[in-house]
Amino acid sequence: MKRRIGALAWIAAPFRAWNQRLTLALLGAAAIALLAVERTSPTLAERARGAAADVIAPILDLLSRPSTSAAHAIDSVRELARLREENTQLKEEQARLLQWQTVARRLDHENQELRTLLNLAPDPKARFITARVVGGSGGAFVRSILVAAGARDGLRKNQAAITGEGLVGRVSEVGDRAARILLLTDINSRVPVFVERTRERAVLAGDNSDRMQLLYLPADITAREGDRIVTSGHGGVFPPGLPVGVITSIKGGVALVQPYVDWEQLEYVRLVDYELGGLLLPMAGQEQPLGPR
Amino acid sequence: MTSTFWQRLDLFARSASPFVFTLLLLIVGLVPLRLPYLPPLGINLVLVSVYYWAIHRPGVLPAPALFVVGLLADLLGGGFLGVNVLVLLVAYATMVSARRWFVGASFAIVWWGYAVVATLAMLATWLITVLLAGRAADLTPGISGVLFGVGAYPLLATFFAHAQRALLR
Repeated sequence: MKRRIGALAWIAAPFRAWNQRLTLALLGAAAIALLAVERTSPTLAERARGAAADVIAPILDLLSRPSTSAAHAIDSVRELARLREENTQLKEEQARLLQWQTVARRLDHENQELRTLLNLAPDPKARFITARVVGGSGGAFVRSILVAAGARDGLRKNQAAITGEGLVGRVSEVGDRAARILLLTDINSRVPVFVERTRERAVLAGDNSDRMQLLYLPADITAREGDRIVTSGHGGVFPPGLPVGVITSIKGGVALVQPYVDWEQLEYVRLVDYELGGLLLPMAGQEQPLGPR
Repeated sequence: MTSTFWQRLDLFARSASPFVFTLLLLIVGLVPLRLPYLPPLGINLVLVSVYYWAIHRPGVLPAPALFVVGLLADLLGGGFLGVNVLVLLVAYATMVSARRWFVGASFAIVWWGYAVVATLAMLATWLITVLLAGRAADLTPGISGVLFGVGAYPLLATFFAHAQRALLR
């Protein structure tokens, strides 16, 4: 009896190993098929990820709350350490900002007067939706976040995500109650921008590091380090003038931009519903009718 | 004597525990911890679990289970579909074929083996991402993620060793 089992095992072992190898090969082929789906019909992949975001968002929302409290506790200890220094800084900044406020009010008034004189068509109005960040980046080479707001809250693909500091990224996938924001630093992110001072146009591209690059800059570039970069509004996806970051270095025609946003501190983002609707939105079924201008 | 329904359920729950641990590590990697200097974890913690079980109990986390874990990692992490699936399966195949070097080896050698597997997996992910995006990606977050996983390995391996003794026997 014992010998027979031994004999069977002797026959079965290679068969089992062969079976395991076949399973691995089939699953590997399925993985490659998934990559092919991603390449050939990204919309399908997007929809699948949107649905997955809907399922995971409530779970992550629950889990991220204690970690947020812990992060707050760490922050308050850090802040306590440099309270005095910060207080002096803030007082100086307030004085400076009050001056700017006066200037801004005067300019705003003047601007309105001039617009009336010129009979200029008003800019489309923007609506804001605030969403909590519930999920971080899913990998070392993906820079994105998950927010707990989706199509039912008025989110649409390609809307700009901002914080008080500046532009964060754009909505890349929308589920019913959750959405994914592709951050500016992701390698798939491209945003039309210009240098605020010189009005030179460029495309801001991420490379997975904390800084971003300016592509397609004119050859005779006059921008220099320290210049502010803002969205240009070209393509009609983003409103113009959203602050993005500052140029930190220009070497050999490559300009690097440091974003205004602190990626570690993202807790809430605001999604800009820009009534232009987006001239770059070819996808049917995702657009809402354009509102009256 | 036939086993009752509850006995079978108990057995199933015990044998499924490595899979459940792996899923939990996947979700932990997705929570925004907002801790300073913390790199994006991605599948680094998942890989610790896959490596541990592939070396110590190759049957409990079979290839189809890894396919599911990889697919969830892709869907929930927002990356390209199929990248994590492919990387996990290739890593698993490598681990299983190299298993004989690690069974009975000292902890330091097994740990070192993990560092090599995690680095190769990260480089493979980088390569596929770059090929799909058509643009070079900065490697730094990948390297810091691997270092974090290697640092977390002893802690997680100790936990798995206890779980193995308590649940799988």
